[in-house]
Amino acid sequence: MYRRILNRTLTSSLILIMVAVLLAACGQAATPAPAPATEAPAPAVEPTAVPVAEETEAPEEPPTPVPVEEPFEVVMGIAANTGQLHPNLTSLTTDWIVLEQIMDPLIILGPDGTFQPWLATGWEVSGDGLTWTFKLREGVTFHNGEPFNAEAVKFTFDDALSVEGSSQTTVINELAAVNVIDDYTVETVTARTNPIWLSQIAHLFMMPPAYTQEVGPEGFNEAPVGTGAFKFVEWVKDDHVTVEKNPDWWNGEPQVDLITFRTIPEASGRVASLLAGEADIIEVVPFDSIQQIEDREDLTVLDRGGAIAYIGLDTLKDVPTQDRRVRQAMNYAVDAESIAEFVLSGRAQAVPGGLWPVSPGWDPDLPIYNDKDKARELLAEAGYPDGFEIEFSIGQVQGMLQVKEVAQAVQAQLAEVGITANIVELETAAMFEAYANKEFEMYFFPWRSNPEAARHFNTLLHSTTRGYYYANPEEMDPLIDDFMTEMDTEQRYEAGRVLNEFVHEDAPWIFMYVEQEAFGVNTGRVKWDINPAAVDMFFGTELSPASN
Amino acid sequence: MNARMALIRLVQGVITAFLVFTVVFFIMRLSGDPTMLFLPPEATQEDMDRFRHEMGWDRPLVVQYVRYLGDVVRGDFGDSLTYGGSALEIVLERLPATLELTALAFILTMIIAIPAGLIAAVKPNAILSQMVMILALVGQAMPGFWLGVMMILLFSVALGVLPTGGRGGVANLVMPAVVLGSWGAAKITRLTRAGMFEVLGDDYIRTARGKGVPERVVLFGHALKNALLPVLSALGLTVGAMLGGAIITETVFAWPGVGRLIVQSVLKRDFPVVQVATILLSAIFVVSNLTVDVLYTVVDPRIRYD
Repeated sequence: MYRRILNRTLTSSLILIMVAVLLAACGQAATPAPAPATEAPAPAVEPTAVPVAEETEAPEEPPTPVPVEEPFEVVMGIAANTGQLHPNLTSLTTDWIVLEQIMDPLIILGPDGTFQPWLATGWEVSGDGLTWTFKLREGVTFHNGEPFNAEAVKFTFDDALSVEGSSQTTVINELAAVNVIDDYTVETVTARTNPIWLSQIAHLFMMPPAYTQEVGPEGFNEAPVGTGAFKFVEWVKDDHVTVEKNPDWWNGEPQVDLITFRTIPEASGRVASLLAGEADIIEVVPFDSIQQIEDREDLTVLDRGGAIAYIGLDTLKDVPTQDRRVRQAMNYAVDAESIAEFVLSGRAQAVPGGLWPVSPGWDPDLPIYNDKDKARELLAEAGYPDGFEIEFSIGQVQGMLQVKEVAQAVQAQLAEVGITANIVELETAAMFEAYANKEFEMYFFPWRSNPEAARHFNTLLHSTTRGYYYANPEEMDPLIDDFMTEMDTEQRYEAGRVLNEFVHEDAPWIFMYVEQEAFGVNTGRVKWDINPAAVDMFFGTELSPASN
Repeated sequence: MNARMALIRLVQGVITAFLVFTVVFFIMRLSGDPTMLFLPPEATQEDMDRFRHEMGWDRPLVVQYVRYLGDVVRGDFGDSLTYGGSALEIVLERLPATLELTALAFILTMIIAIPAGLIAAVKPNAILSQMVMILALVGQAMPGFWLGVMMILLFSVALGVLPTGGRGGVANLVMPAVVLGSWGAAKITRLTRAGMFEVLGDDYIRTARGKGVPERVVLFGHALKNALLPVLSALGLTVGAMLGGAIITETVFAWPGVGRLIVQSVLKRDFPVVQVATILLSAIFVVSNLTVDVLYTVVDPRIRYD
């Protein structure tokens, strides 16, 4: 009896399951799978802040033939999860990519590397270099209807200072006061002269005061409101963020209707989504997939200068690298140009110092170290004719290119002059911990930031900041101070040149190269030029359908 | 199963969860101080010290452990370090996606593997049976990661019939569920076949056949139930393996579930999220094994837990 009931239940549930699977299969057949180039998947346009994922069982409606134009949706495959969409709480580029659609800063760093008016139409700096006055664009409103004005600017600065867990520490450190002059004029006062102030506030996205106060930081994070080209639509955590165009944008109506930022953490998955036509743009194209993308006529790879990679040397402890001659010898021994060319297939540019080729102070005549005989000579002079042993720590940090392969090339080149570098591989967090505790003898790190500001000299080599692994403050500090406070453009350029030359000479690092960051773009479908100068890759560029 | 036994199992489950919690706590803490990951590069030594102090990371590990354990007992797992907001909520938000995927993979496993194992046992020399066994071997030997990437290349890039990843329609579920289910299916197929082989050689089967009982009834009525006993216990373990496998499958297919959350959170040293997620997954594992134990007594009344 029981058995029969059990059997019957089992049989009927099996049949049910099979019917369900069959139905599912049919449903799937009815849905046009990866949309062909002209067809965008039906977008969810209903604004919702609730990050609850939809029921997937819900049968999709069959696409009804509509005579009206379908919305043009651009899908971008991003490598990491969207973390937070409160602009003053995040410092992740992944979040900035989304935020720069929804929100606007006062100024942007344009594709040509100069600052351009954005929500501020103009600015000037006082004679003492401390007070910056910004003229604001009139008639701009936030997506919720609030007016953009001087109060909103002051409110944004205040929020950056006061919100718990603020990521705007650079702004906080420098800011002394924000004064509202009139509705469309606002001035900021910095604690010391600061030539890179514009660069520091280029990531301060303007927030609507009433809305922000009403919803609080968590509410803002769930549903950000700005003055930007696109309005926030939905954020399904770990899956995607969608924004729709703001037809009333002060800078003209955007040419695409929707942008979806889809998180695809696996590099091969990102490439596959581009190849399959699901994504129109992908970031962080892995090194070995570039050719595959280039081979397709409708796809292309866009490059832009990315992180500067350097090999830091310990100058604090009583080790051979404390001797400047040894550090120079190591630079002479390593041939960064050939590594950039052969190990990285030319996807990097060797540099002789700590500056990007687009930074103020870049000197094309500064020579790149490369001379094995000179290296041996210097080593002998320093008392190490037979070389020495050193621990070389590497780790996968911020998507650096071919870390291990490059490290092995460096290892081989150092061996030629008698230096034995023992490679130690660390996990990212362990890498950072050892870095903070100053445990390294020799370590491979990237630095990614705005080349215009070149703030890393201050962060990495100045004794009052982190003073990291570097013990020559008497000579180095004044040079950095000059560079960081000189307001005159020409003189700042000269200060940068002098500083970089000294860095080159004193060799706290083995100078390596500037990496190229690769983006995959479906040019058969979208037209887009990346902004090569700044972290914000969309500002100052146009994103439009390819057919236009 | 009587009440005393159920209570013992429950206590065992709590102990398991506690051990998981403890091991995860210490492994996460001992594998690197994440302060630098959370602060911008401009942060000074004082900033770092202050942050460490705020987080309580400057205290001895044992003190941190006891304090956190106290919070957890009161139901407070702490806030996520990367997402902000309650770690528990963040994990619970992603749980439906993982359950959906695991459930489908589990159902797939059962409806494919048990019939396949039956066929292979009843007609061991048929070509179909041979194919089933080869597939089972391959399925068990292939790493899910590789299988996933290969399927994406075939079905998404080359044929263009299935989306490469993400969560959305039913089409998005197909590949992740197949990949996640493949390992378990292969194992269950082999177990079913082995179980049937053994049972079909038993005396009572010979007796039944001798009495002239139709073969259909012999197989499904007499043999299958006994053959499925080892399969049942394997199914409990398969749920565990699938929850573990979800970590890889979800990463490959960009599936927004708990598995991928764990990977991201481990990399970012988001301690609270990792703690919550691992406890939750181990709880599901414990419950599924408990269910198997109960089912045992239903399927085979001879089994008693005393």
